[in-house]
Amino acid sequence: MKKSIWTALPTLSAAIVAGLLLNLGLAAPANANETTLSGSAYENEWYAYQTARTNTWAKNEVWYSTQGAGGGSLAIGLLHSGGSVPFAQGAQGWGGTQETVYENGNPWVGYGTFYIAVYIETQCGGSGCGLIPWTADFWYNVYY
Amino acid sequence: MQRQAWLAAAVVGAVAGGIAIGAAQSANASNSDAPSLEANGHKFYAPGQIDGAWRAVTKDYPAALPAGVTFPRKAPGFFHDAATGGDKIQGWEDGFPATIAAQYWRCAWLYDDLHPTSSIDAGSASASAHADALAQAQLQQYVGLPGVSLGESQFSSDMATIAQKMGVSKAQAEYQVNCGPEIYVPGNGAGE
Repeated sequence: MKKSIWTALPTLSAAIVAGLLLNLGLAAPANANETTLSGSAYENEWYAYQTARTNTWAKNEVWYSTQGAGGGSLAIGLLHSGGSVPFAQGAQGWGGTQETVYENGNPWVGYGTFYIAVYIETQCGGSGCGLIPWTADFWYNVYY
Repeated sequence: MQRQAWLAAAVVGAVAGGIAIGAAQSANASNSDAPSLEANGHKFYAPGQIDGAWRAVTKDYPAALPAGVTFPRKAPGFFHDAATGGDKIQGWEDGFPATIAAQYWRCAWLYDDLHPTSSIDAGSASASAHADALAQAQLQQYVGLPGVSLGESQFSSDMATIAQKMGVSKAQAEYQVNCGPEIYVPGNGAGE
């Protein structure tokens, strides 16, 4: 027996809603954290910020999306209090998204509390650019 | 004439601005306790100031460490060794020494809780439960210490999540993931 579109509509709607929910679930893992970071820094030096954050997975993806204008790039590094003194970092030109990567090449970071450090690379030369404002959307504690 | 006066004023302004920025970056050679770098409201300690800032924070600390434990005179290795690609941190946000001092305090108590000298068998289930209870009791004091930005319930929940995934007690998990040798070395203060 051929079903009309009208009789199939409730089933289709339920399937679409279920699909949407599944997609939402996949796109935003339950424990993922998102925040907006901003500040100002002088170029070509690392600045470390005291706010503590925690990754709760054995392997966590951490990435950020920069906003700003002009040339150069914004790198965000992660300082772990568990002992990883060579810290994870990513470097991204303004207006892009970047995952932080450990020096060993792993695209994930482990459990624990961490702090961020920021490095702005420019090619101003001479006496430099002075203070450079920066803003980034930052995601951490994302299941890898 | 007016143009010349305007130009002179502009030059004076530029020089004064330059001096102001330079002063903000290097102010305080005479006072090592205050952050010498400033970026738009955020103040940072230069690497050479960290040990002085650490001593200022840990002197007369508002909460007691376990018996026999003291803060090291020099800031922990966390401040001196952090580097990537040969680059080191050039500015530590004002308050960072207090944050790490609180973490040192927390790690010292966690270690003490996890290594009871009483009749409780270290490593046993009851010892783990005992350590968890002590750590939980100290948590309220920890989140009230200078430099701690973590919320008590969120932090406790995060550590419980990690402990569950690692299959160990909360105190063991927290010590393992947050108390690396660059922060705390039992019986041998990091950074000394």
